[in-house]
Amino acid sequence: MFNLFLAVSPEIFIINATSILLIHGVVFSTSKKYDYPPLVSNVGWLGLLSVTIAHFFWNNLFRRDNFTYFCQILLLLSTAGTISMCFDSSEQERFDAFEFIVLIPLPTRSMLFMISAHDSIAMYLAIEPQSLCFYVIAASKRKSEFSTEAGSKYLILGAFPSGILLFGCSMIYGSTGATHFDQLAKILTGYEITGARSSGIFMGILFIAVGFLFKITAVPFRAAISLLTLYMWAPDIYEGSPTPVTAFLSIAPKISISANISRVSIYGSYGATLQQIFFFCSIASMILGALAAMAQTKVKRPLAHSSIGHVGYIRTGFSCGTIEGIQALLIGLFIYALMTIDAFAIVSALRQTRVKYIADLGALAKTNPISAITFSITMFSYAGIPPLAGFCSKFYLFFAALGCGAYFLAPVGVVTSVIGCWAAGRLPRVSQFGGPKAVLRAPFYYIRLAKRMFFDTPRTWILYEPMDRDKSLLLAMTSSFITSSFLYPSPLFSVTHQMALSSYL
Amino acid sequence: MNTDITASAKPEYPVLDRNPPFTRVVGNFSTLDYLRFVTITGVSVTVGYLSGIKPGIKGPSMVTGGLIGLMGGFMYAYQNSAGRIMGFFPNEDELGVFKVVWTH
Repeated sequence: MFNLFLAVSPEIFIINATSILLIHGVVFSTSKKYDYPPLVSNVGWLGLLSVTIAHFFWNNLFRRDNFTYFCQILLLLSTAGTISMCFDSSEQERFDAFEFIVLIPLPTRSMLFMISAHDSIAMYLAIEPQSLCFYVIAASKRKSEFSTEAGSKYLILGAFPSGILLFGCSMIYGSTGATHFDQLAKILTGYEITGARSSGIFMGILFIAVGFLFKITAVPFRAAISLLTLYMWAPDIYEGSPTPVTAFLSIAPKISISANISRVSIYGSYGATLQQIFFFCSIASMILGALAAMAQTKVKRPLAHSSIGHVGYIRTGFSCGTIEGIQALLIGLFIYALMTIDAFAIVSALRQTRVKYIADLGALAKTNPISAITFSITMFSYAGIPPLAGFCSKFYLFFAALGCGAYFLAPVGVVTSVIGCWAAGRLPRVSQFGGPKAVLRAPFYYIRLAKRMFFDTPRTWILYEPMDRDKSLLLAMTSSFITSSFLYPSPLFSVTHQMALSSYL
Repeated sequence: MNTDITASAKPEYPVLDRNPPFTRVVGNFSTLDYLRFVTITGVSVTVGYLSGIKPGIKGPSMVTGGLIGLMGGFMYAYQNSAGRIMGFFPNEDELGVFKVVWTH
């Protein structure tokens, strides 16, 4: 019986390591003998060590399948990247709360459980600790009103989809008496063969899908419930949270929820109705993510909207319901994680010099050209410009969509990618810049950032501090993959193909 | 409840014990297992020491790193040893030993 726990060795290790780190932090941060030392970097390195050791526990023998293996490894890599962003930024922003570092492996542990969950109860029990930790780390900067607001919004509006998800699980249990995905698959296959219908099962699956789509910040579920205010909660949360937290929230839950919803879709009922809901949400996310980002003036908010739009692209993968779709999903998640780590590492480095607005980027190309070039490459990759990695991920996603017959989705994705590059032509800006160049200077978000850095006259000459070593190393690794993956993409494609096949076997 | 942990992944090598007890697994630690254990612990102690220099808590940080490494190294060695006994890893060395020691 003891050997059963070998299957969850990584999770057990992370829980124990996090507990040790928490005790270490509490004891020594309040120690008069050591003069109350700041422990963020110390706990950060030990947390990074824990996450790195957890990688060793993957022998792919006690796991469910290769699909789980891939998603969990990607999650751990993203967590390690996020922790490495925290070291210098916490010192620069005088944010001395080691608990913030401890709170990153904790939701990671829950997300590991969630990815390998094969039962609706296990799935829900994994989602809740993950969500609770997210609420806390979003509000971790206690002296900041924006951070407190972000945490409060996340708490209030995160409880709603949790309730919907649980209600859906209970409806399915009430109709079928089963919670395990394998049992549900047999029952639902029987329904398909006999042609029977159950409104309870249908509503349950619908509620589960809506709950997941809300959690993944899908349009139209990212809007506040109140139609009168209609302001979007996800960009507000991403903007108010500390930058490494924003990076973590942009990447990690997308991986875990995408993996889980793919599993639910594959093992559960993948009827036409569910597929249509996913397609609609993908299209809406792509369109609104592209359009809403155009009006933004701060550096973090376009990235937040871009994250929402990219999740729409990635969602086309599991919307297809084919092996190619799952493979495209995995490729999209991997490349999206790397691009997002890259982008937020640069934003985190810029925040140290109090850069918050896009207009403040004007002097970056002149004072720190390497950072400007790296940021531009990342933005072009987000836009899907070949031969960068972002183009490869969108290419495979749209091909998978065409392969399953979603002929409308692929052109919408292409158009929204172009919108991200193209001028929107906002007239009030004409008076600010004047003349025929005003049209060319109209806001568009990916290339706009590059334009602002390289071509615009700086309005404020900000002296950008050199980036710290940890972020530099992180950027070197991610940027090199983004720029050079097109030369030899076959390892990623063959690995993801194998992982996708395993999810269907 | 299905407690058969081999339900999803079948062992590729001869199964010596489907559910070995704790003492048998620890007793089956090979030289490589001990080496992994010591390496992970050593690296963790080093990381703990180095990360504790800046805040001035070298000793306690080294101990914390050592605890994390000790736990992680032991779990990793245990997983490998149990995997060999349960037939998931190459176990030629164990075949000879088990035949001699655990044959009834």
